[in-house]
Amino acid sequence: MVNIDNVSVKYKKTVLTNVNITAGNGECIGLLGLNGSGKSTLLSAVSGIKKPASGKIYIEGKTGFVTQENALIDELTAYDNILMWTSMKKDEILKALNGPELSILKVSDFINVRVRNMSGGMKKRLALASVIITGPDVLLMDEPLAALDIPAKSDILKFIDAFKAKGGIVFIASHEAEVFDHCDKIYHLKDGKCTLVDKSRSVSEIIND
Amino acid sequence: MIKVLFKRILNFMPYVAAYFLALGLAAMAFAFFGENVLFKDGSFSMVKVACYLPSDNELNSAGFSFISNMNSVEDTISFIELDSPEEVRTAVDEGDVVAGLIIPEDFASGIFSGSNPELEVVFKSADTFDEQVVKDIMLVLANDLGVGQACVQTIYDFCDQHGVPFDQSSELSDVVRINELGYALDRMNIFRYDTVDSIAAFTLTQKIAGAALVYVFLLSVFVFAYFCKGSNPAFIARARLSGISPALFFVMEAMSVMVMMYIAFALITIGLQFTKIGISMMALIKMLPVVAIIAFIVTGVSYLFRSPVSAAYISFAAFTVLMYLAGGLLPLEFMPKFLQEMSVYNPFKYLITFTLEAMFT
Repeated sequence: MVNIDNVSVKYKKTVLTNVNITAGNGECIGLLGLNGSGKSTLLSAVSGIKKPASGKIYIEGKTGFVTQENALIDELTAYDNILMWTSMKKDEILKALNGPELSILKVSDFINVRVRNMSGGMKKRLALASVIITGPDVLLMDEPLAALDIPAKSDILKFIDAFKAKGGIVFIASHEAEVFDHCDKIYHLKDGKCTLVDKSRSVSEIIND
Repeated sequence: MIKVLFKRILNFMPYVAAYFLALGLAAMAFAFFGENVLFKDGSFSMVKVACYLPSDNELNSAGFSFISNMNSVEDTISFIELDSPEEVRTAVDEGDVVAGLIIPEDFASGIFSGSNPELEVVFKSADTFDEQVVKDIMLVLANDLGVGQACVQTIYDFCDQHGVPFDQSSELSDVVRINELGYALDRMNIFRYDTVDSIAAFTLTQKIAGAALVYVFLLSVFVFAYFCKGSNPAFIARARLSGISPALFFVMEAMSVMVMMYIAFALITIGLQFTKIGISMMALIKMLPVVAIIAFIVTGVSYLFRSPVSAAYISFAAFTVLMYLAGGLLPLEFMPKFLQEMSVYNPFKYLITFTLEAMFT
């Protein structure tokens, strides 16, 4: 469970005030807003990287954060990039990648490929897998579908559903309409405020409010 | 994580090697041929020295001819003979020449009478590198001229006593005690040495090589900015969530940069063993602190800028100016006095000094 209670966060020119969000196990929260509206800032605060100016964030379990920019080392292979952030052994990594959840991302297909030789879709799959392999209960994703091809998008959305089904909580900041079909609640960030919006409304409608 | 860091180092090393090979070769070329610019004929190091030479004794002309034909003097000093000591002093005062050499009347005869006559060497304060070289040469000349003249006179005397022509003085070894002739002939050899400028040139070559090494290492931001990930918030976030603080992440990357720099330095040291620069193998140990400091500077600069390109070009500009002001690109002696004084506040000056000591002592 995640409870964001009356949280205010300030980062550069972005200020978010009195944000209240509650997410139960198996729920996906969509964060919608224009560039600079504070979506990434809010995810940073939930991850613990950014300290809120006021309010409290309660998280039950471990957090994993897939940032907009992939934290991958170009000169290393997919396997080494995963190994960099975990103390797992090779067998354990391969077993996890072939498990029911992570196999959706098909990372074992390119486990020995160097990042510099990967497509955008492969990089995003790897970035996501390297976070998931550490076993987070809450997954924070910043623009996970940006500039991806259709198969990659489809696999990542399938993965989100699988993660939710396992009882995981997902926070997604995005512009992509198709992401919000997988969300249980959608919050609109505008002028420093975070408002729960009606899921039946279209993304463009909400943005133009 | 340590295992992966080693893999990163191994995979990144070809880029580092390519950088050091390209820039190192350019810097070494400069170090090897820099001395040619400063010390060979027709270079701007040729300076004017006024001279007064009394005509009261032929030994004056002989001795002066020896010293003015020494390689070190011939390539560095253009003598202008003036008619009186006053004219020499005036020429120095007015800046027409950088120094003056006044040989007193009865100099040659005074040497043999035991009155120890002294040459007068006139200087203004020596500010530039040229002037300091000239000052050193002049002091050597002043000491050697009297010795030389005494030697010439001794050999003349031996030749006279034994009826041997002066240009066949070596034949005297059959009739004169070997130690006396040997002493005189050995002293004559002073005038065949050209060590003054060759030593200065060698020192300059080492100085340029040491400073070039520091400069090339500092500019390796061009390659290491692509290695260091600390300016990327995604990596910092990833590290934090993995329980690694940003400070620890920085230290880990700086240490990796240090390892790569040290490997490059070790290869350079081995390579320089086959050149005239003659770097000491002890430098492999002594240079560790320098490599560590530069590695942390380079990593720090890489962390300051979001893009590796910005880090590279901004540090190129900043390091070039700082190295110039520290005397790393041009000897401080060539610079105006106020820049020389300012250099004491430049930490790169001490980095270069330490590097030179580590490499060549």
